Amino acid sequence: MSEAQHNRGLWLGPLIAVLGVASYFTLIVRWPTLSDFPWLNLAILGGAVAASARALPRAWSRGGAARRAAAVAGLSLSSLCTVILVYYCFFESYGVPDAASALPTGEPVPALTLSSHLDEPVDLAQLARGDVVLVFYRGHW
Amino acid sequence: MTELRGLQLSLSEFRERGVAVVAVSPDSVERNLGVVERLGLDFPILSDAGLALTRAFGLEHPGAGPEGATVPRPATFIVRNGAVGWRDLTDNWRVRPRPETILAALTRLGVSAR
Repeated sequence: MSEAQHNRGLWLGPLIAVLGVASYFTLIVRWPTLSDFPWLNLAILGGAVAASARALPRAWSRGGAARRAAAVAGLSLSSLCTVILVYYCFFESYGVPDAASALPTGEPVPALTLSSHLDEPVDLAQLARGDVVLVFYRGHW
Repeated sequence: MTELRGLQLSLSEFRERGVAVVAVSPDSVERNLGVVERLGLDFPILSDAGLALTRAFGLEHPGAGPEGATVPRPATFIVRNGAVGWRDLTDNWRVRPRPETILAALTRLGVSAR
């Protein structure tokens, strides 16, 4: 077994880490069961950090300065990817204002008229005579 | 967008109960039309570009939009008899109520398939 094969974690760790964080934003967000709590991506990133960490002592015992530097860079990159996902999912996305000002249950729905995507007027008061699921979202920027 | 896709996939279950699904965004009519066409939605998106409805519902999230614009926080309401029957104001804008959660809330409000 060559040295490169023996220490695959050196490059495989950070590669998996980058895929682990990029896939969350590009692919996984389509499936709420996988994205509401990002357990799949956390597992991938955990594996990536473990692989990068295991490559470190190997690089130290058998590699030269370049290999050691690569191992440190790899572990840093894997850790950074993990921090990005954890920060986004468990800190940044909780930045929603207090709900105190929101219309409470039992309050009548305001009577306003808005334009539909077909530029037709929609009267909320008329709509509210039936049962409606009204979904506010932040827009497609 | 995932949320709108999910509602579209469950749209027949809402219609069986005689419930209309209506989305509201702070975007322009043109942009909403683009979203409806791209996602193949069979329910309308209303344009609340001036945030009048967002304010009336008390959902302003200052600074959360592009270039520090105010946008609505993600929120889902069930309107019944002209009033709020149920609401979900997620504390995490990544996490929205799933269609099955909304359907269960409708059942509790007595809105079942006809």
